[in-house]
Amino acid sequence: MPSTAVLSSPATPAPEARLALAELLLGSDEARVCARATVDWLVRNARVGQTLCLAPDDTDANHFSALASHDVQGAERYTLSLHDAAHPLAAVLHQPEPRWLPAGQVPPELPLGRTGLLAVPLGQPDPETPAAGLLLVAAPTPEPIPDVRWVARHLGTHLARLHKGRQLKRLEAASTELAARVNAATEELATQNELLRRQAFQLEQACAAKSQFLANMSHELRTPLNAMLGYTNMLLQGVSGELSAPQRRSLVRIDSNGHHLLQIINEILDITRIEAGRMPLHLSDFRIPELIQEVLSELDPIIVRSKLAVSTALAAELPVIHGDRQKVKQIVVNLLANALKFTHEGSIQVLARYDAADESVDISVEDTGIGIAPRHQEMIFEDFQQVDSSPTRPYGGTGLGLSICRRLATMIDGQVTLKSALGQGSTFTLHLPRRARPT
Amino acid sequence: MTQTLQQDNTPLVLIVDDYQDAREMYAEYLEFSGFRVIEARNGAEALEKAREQHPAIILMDLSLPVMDGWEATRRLKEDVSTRGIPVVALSGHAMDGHSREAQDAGCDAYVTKPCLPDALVKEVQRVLTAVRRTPAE
Ligand SMILES: Nc1ncnc2c1ncn2[C@@H]1O[C@H](COP(=O)(O)OP(=O)(O)O)[C@@H](O)[C@H]1O
Ligand SMILES: [Mg+2]
Repeated sequence: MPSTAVLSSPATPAPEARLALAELLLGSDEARVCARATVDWLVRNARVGQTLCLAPDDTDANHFSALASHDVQGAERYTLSLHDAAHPLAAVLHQPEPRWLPAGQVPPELPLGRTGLLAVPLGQPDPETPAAGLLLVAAPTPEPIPDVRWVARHLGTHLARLHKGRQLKRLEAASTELAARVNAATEELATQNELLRRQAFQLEQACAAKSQFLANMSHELRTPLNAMLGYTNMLLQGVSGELSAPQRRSLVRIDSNGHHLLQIINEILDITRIEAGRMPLHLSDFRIPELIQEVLSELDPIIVRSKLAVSTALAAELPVIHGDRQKVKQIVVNLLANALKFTHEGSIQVLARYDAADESVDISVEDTGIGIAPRHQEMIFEDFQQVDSSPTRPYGGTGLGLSICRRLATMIDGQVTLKSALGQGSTFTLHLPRRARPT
Repeated sequence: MTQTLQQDNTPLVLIVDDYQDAREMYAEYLEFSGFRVIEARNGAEALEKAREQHPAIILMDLSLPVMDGWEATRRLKEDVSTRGIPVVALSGHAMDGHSREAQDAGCDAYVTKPCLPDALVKEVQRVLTAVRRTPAE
């Protein structure tokens, strides 16, 4: 068991000497200078021998370096690590009382006190706030050394103050640096924003150029196609004389492929125009029944060929619509053309009804066709997406029709929805407000 | 010269298009359908032939070299001697605006290419019938 003694009630120090030291400490902002003065004062007034004043490093509170010393060899470079809580000096850091270690218990790494050591905490430590440092004085007996406790307390308080000051300075420096970094980051952000703005502008221009290019392309593509389709049509009409059956069959193929190509080109042109904002709204008042009649007569050749029963079911009280007639018509044409394409038997019905409550109209195309599985019901509205896009698919088409419908519907504040089940037919519905918002 | 034309009662059609294949195709089909046809490759040529031969109807492509179809139509409609000739605009652009501009220039009808020869002939017949019913002053 280490025998330790608690030093109590030290002798009263000489008031003038204490005052002198207090003034000295107050006059200095240097921890080393203060510690030096304190050790010197002790040597002079308390006649201590070997003395070592240690304080924790700024970066590591458990690593101590010498601040000042008296009669200790190599003290300037001495450091002490107190990471081990079991070290006899570690405990001193958290108690206000000094502690005396007899000769046998002085840790060998200490460069003083071979005959016994008095360890005094600097300042007024408690279990939460550790001492500002340690004052080690060689002492062969536990007898109190006059003034040591007072001096240690005073120096500790002073060192703590200096430490706080240093921390404040460091905090200020850090906050200055932080502000600088925030400024730099803000500037960087502004630069990036500017760059993004410029890129967005360039992108817009590139996009416009692309649309222009596609529009021109479509025109250039259609010019020769016009002649091809025209001559084919003339040959099929017998303008150049009668055709043999194989000739006719070949020409019919040229004709249908040509029309397919034309449809692709037209649909791409439509999408380009929508994206380039070159399909402006033309709002007018129109009636649904007339529009549906027009759609039916436009598709009449296909309806006749399909041999399906195509009927209409229009609500009696359909109001006059204010909207973009051409776009509504294009959507209904597309939906009906799809219904005709994907229905092999049964019937197709075009329905229209008015919802007075939210002033909207529904135009539906209902078929008894092949239907669409739930997992395909979103996808088919995307560009070029078809349920069957294999090269051997039985249905022609580009997969652009519904994506055009959806875009057109958005333009006129409407929407296209779908109800379908595989093998159970499909119902596509255009839902649109009675009065489109003027833009 | 006008006399010989008046004697012949099959209508004379002026087809204006810079794209030879299309022009000749329509010409061939119009002749096949019983019309007489003259051709022009640009707006300036179209004006010249219209004044010289006074066709019953003009099929006018809009984007043309030298003088475009809008300008040619405007001039035809300013000239008292050609004002009465119906002009059918033929455009490769289904663009909005094109048809309105064509109307503003004075075109009587508007057809978008691609247009099959028989559809074009139908349109020619329609316009001619309409003109005959309400003769131009
Ligand atoms: N009425 C319908 N019945 C069954 N499937 C349909 C119907 N309408 C559309 N589809 C499916 O949606 C796909 C995309 O349609 P759409 O965009 O119009 O392209 P396309 O008709 O050119 O194939 C079609 O290929 C088809 O698979
Ligand atoms: Mg389709």
